[in-house]
Amino acid sequence: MFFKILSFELKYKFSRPAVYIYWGVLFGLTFLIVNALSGLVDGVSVSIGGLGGKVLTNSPFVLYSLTTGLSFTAFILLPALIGNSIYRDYESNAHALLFSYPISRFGYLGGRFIGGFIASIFVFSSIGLGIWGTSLMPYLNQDFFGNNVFMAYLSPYLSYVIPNILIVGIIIFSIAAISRNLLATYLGCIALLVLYGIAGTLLSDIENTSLSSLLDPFGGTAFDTLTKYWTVTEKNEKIIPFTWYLFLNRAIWTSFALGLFSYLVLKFKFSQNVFHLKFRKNSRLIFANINPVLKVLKFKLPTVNQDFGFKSTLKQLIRLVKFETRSMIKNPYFLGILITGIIFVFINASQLGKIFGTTTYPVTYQVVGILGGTFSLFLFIIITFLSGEIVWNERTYKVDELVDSMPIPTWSIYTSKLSALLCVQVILLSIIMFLGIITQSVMGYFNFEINLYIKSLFGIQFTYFALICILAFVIHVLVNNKYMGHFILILFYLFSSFMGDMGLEHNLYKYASSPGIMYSDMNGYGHFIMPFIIYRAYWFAFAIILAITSNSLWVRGKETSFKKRFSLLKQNIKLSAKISLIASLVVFIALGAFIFYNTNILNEYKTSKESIREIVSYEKNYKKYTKCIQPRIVEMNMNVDIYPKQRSVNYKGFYIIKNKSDKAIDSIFINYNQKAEYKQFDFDKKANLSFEDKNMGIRIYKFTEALQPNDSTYLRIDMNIAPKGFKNRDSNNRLLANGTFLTTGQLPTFGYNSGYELTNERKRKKYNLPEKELVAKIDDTQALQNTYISNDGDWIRFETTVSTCKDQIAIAPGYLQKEWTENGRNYYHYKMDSKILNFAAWLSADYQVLKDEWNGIKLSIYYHKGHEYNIKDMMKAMKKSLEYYSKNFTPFQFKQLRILEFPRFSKFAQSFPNTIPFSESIGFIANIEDEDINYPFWVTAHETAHQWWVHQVIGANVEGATVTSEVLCQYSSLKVIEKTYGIEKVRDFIKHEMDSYLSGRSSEAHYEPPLLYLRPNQGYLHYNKGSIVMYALSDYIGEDKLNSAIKKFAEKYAFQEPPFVTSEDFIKYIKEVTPDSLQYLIHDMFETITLYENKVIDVNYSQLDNGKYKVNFSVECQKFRADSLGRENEIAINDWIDIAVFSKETNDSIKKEEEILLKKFKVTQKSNDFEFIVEHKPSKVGIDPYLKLIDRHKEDNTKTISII
Amino acid sequence: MELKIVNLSKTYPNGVQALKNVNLTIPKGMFGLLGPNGAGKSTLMRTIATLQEADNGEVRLNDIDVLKQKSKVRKRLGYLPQEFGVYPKISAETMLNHFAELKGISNKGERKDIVKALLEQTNLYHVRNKNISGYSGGMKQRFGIAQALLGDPNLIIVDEPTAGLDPAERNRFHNLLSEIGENIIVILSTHIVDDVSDLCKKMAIINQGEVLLQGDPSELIENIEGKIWEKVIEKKELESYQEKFNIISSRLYLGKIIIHAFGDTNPNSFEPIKPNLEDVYFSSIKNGKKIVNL
Repeated sequence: MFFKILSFELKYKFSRPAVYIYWGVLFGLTFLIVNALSGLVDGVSVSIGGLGGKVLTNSPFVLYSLTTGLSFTAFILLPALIGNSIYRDYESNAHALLFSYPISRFGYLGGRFIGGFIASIFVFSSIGLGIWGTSLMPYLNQDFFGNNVFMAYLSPYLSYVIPNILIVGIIIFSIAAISRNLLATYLGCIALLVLYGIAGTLLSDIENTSLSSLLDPFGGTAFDTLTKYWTVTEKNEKIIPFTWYLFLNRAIWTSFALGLFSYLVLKFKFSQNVFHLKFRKNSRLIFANINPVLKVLKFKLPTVNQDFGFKSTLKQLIRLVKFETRSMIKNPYFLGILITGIIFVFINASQLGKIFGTTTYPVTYQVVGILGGTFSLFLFIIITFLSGEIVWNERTYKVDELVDSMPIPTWSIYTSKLSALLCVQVILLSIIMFLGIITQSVMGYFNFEINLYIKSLFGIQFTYFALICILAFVIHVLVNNKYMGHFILILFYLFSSFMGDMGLEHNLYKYASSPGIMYSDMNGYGHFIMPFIIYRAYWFAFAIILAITSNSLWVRGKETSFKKRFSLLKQNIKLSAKISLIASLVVFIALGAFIFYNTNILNEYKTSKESIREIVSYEKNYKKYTKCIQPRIVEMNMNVDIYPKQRSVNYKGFYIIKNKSDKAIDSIFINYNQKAEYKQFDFDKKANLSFEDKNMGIRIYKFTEALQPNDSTYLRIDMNIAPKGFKNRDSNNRLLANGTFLTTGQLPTFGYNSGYELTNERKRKKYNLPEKELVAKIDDTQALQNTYISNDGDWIRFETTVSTCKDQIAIAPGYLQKEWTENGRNYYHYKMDSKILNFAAWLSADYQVLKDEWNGIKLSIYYHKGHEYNIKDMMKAMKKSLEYYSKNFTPFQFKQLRILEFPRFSKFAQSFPNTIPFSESIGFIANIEDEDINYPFWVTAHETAHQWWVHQVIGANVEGATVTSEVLCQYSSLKVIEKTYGIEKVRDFIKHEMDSYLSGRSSEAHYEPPLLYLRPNQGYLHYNKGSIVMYALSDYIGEDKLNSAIKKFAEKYAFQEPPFVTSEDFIKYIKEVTPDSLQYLIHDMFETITLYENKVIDVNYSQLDNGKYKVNFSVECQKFRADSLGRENEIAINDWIDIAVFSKETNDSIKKEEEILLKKFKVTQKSNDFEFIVEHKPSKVGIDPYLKLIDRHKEDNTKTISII
Repeated sequence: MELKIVNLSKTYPNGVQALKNVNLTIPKGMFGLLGPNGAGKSTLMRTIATLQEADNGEVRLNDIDVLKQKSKVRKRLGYLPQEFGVYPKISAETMLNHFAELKGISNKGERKDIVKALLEQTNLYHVRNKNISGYSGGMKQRFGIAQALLGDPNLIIVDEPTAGLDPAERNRFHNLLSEIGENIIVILSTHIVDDVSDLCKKMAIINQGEVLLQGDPSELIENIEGKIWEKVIEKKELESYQEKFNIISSRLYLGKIIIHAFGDTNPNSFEPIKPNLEDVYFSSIKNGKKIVNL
């Protein structure tokens, strides 16, 4: 029986077009994505599953990520593929017949399910075949592909796709069998996938990765955990192994699914009765009055007036909107989606603004951002679903013939339904607002900015979703097939999110788009508002055109074909509609023209591809000037007038430039900001403009008489920068109404700048560019002449007068000489008494100031009113840092230090001489609790350290440049944290750093050098590996010895002239203080990439007669050397490693786990056994428990002693 | 006031010709449109109810062009379709109130009154707060006629209203229809002969999209007086009788078959009987338009 039903089911499935269509769609989707991933389109940065750099598109790792990712999306097909196997019988009412036949439950359910299951596997096979097919395409760049390995294609199917089709399939099949409703099956499937997303958030919080690997029903976490730290080589070469955890996970969940299926088989009834999703029992009325004798009726109906005037139609409309809204919000599916969404939102709210596991205060913009952002997924689902329901409502319930023959005008029906859909959005967003306020209250934050809630939720979000509603509604009206309508809408969502990647970047043709709008506490919505409103008006005009047109195509009556409706258009469209149509069209075109004028005429519109081409042509045309010696800036005197309200700035002043080389300079190559207007751009020395490229902003001047060695001249500049109109995107976020932050970056620079060059190797190849040297070699004599932050100058004299409007304070590096008001503007004259690096900033905002002093050094924090939360900690950080650094390293070179808050459009802090601009988003609103890492404190300490490790000692622009800046800053700030908060906080911090380093190297786009030879932009090396290594080093050789070496190094190289210092110079000082027995550490940590695999295998203990405890444990230690692409080789181990024993009973009152033994032992082999006699009952043992050595599995470094 | 249908034709995209050159004049009062399933009745009803387009022809309600001036028609129309549903979880009162709104009864008080009156007249008042989806077939049809009567229509179309009702309910429904009044046009489309004979003063018979007969039922019966012949035969004889004679209907009776034949003379030892409307109906269906010329 089973086989008969199965073969019937298979014949049925494979004789119908559906499976082939699904197969084709999935194949096509895969084909498109793999093409996009393989460099078909320029400027595309599609990145799935860690692809990028040297990882190949058909590598086992990418194949696994891509296949599993796409199949996850394609699970949405399972209701149709598997649910349909059983649902179909109910739909066609065949069950009434079928269930009366002598078939067994297992035969029926099993046969149907397996049939659907096999059909699904067939459909999902298109993903692997799609990738394989694409990899053979001759037009694609073959650099993206390696050899196709069959097992690499098969393994995701064996461990992920097929088991999950079984698991999800059974769940869906069960829903279909019980509910007998297609919609319920679909929603069940969506709920399952969404719940999985929620579970993902929760799972990622579980520290124990093996537990979360087992709990994940799809088995994705096991894969993520396994490959989290994989390097390029591993991703390219290693077939995803079927690990024990993966196996266990698959076994658990498959048996769960099979259990569910057996239960279904056991409980299934061949009955006619349908299970209904309902909240109340719907009793059928029995008409009891069976009286065949007629009563003579006399119809007496009250007379009524039918009024079709405009005013009453309007009133009628309002009542209809209410009616339709009520019917929508009573929909049980809607309620189901809504409740899921609310749960999802609440779970996300707990993650508010996490940095280093520390959350921020729930300020309104954060809350709205997170709640509104996560809820928007549900709004999309709700809009898609409800728009279909409301357009089809009458037909679904067969009320259409009644309603359509009534005298209500079509536009009333149309408008009432569309308005009701919008009303539902208002209700939903009000719920979000309500949830936001609750979240804030629960978190103890009571500054509810209702005004901001309204602007953000209704001004921004609602207007967007209203546009989506109109589109969804119009699509459903035009397509006139509910499921096709949903499908087209989903296609639209996908298309609009991939449009940018396909080179369609202009907001003029991207429905409902805008150049973006971002709120900052400091700047509000600022200059974003105007273009935003214009864009919204533009798209609303378009939406109204759509709405009016589709109103005339509304299906009224039984004529549903598009052709017929279109022919009725003339009859249906009224004069008033024509007028509004023309009016909207005029508004749409006028606004479109205005936008075009702003984005393409006032500003330059460039696609990503054009930008890349420009970069390419810069390199091709001007690379030849690399070797031309340029004069260097030795003095900068710049008056900067900032007009915050007008968003305009004027720079007027001069550079003194000097020929510091030993050859005469006859011409000068200048990069200038081509968006600025120049009133003056002159040399005091006679010079002719010999070349100009206005498009790229390049000028070459030829001196009439060459600039001789040691000769100098003035370059006088008077320039104005003011954004014109608005741009398609990336508006100037530095020149603001409140919180302007300008740097020397706006000013002209000298010489060819290799920093602009394209770095992506495959793109370089495409544009016929030679392989790029990503950073100059450490012995490159020309590169040694420059610091890594500027090619134009090193130590300069600096003076500036900066002015701003009367309610703001303007700040620049230097000591305030004079402050005055003139013409209603505030002027500040700053001057440095010593030379500083050519790296200055000018800021202006309406600041509050916190002032303090440390040893005669003036400290201040300029902050936005309301952001007082952490300024005391930041002040404390400055003091503690100054204290530690000046005591252990060199004296502080300035008499002041200032922190300046700037808006959150950029998310960093940056150290200029005695001036630290600090983004509002990285600490000012952090909500620090005792157990958290105090990152405002840490960032302050780090930036303060830069006053030494950049502004005293600055590395040359070669490999390893940031070792003497960022690495030392990490070390310095960790020491300040240790002194202030204790070593435990540093250990917590190191855990994060370990994770960031290992994930950072896993997504390396080029190659990973040893620390000593890092490239300047490799954050995971100079920040994360830097922290780990320096923390370990200070532990191994001792803080004092290390500091003495650093001090000696700093004294030698502070304020040096070129050639500048390198990491090799630095390491010499470290080697000097390192005992011979530990010299290997320097080699392991700085000169090579070394990893360990340390783990505790087994542990037990016994109590001795004297009350002490004997603890025995065995550990395994392995040491590996990795090459620049992450290929590892095991090497002999002969290392000192921490061995530790912990106990919970050292202190009776607080049962905190503490170390009772921590000692370094020399480990010389893989397996080692230890035995200790300890005073207290041991609870845990560990090898390298505090992660001083780089280890990919930190969780097995310790083992808790289980109580038997 | 009359409804005039002239040369109305309609062919569906699948090639089925639902209406063939239909000409009908429907005066005030109850008009029965009789025809078997699939005759084109519903197409005709929907076309008059502004829900469907015609390929050719014209429909006029007095001076209104029904096919073009749809909104004018809808203001005067009450329509009970052959099949209709209701919104889920909604009571008769709310639903009727909503329909009153759609019919343009904008005064709240008036709406309330008429809803109440209609529910009372259709004997649904005591269940007005119950969900309509729980109503029995008869109650639902009564609700349907209640909504059709909203807003004082002068053209009412009821399409197959009694199909599936038990005899008592059908009786009750007829009673309701008979009260609707003589001053407006009521078109009752049905395949049940009794519906017409019980209620209608004028009628037409339609089959395969064509109007076969129209007129006063009693006159139509008179027309075939003396032309209907009955005989009781054995089952096995039926085939040969059908071959030989113009048999218009046959039905089982006590294990035998009663057949009716149509003809000017007694075919073969048949009994002459007094014809009824059913015989009119069957003879016209069987013999098509020929009968009109009789």
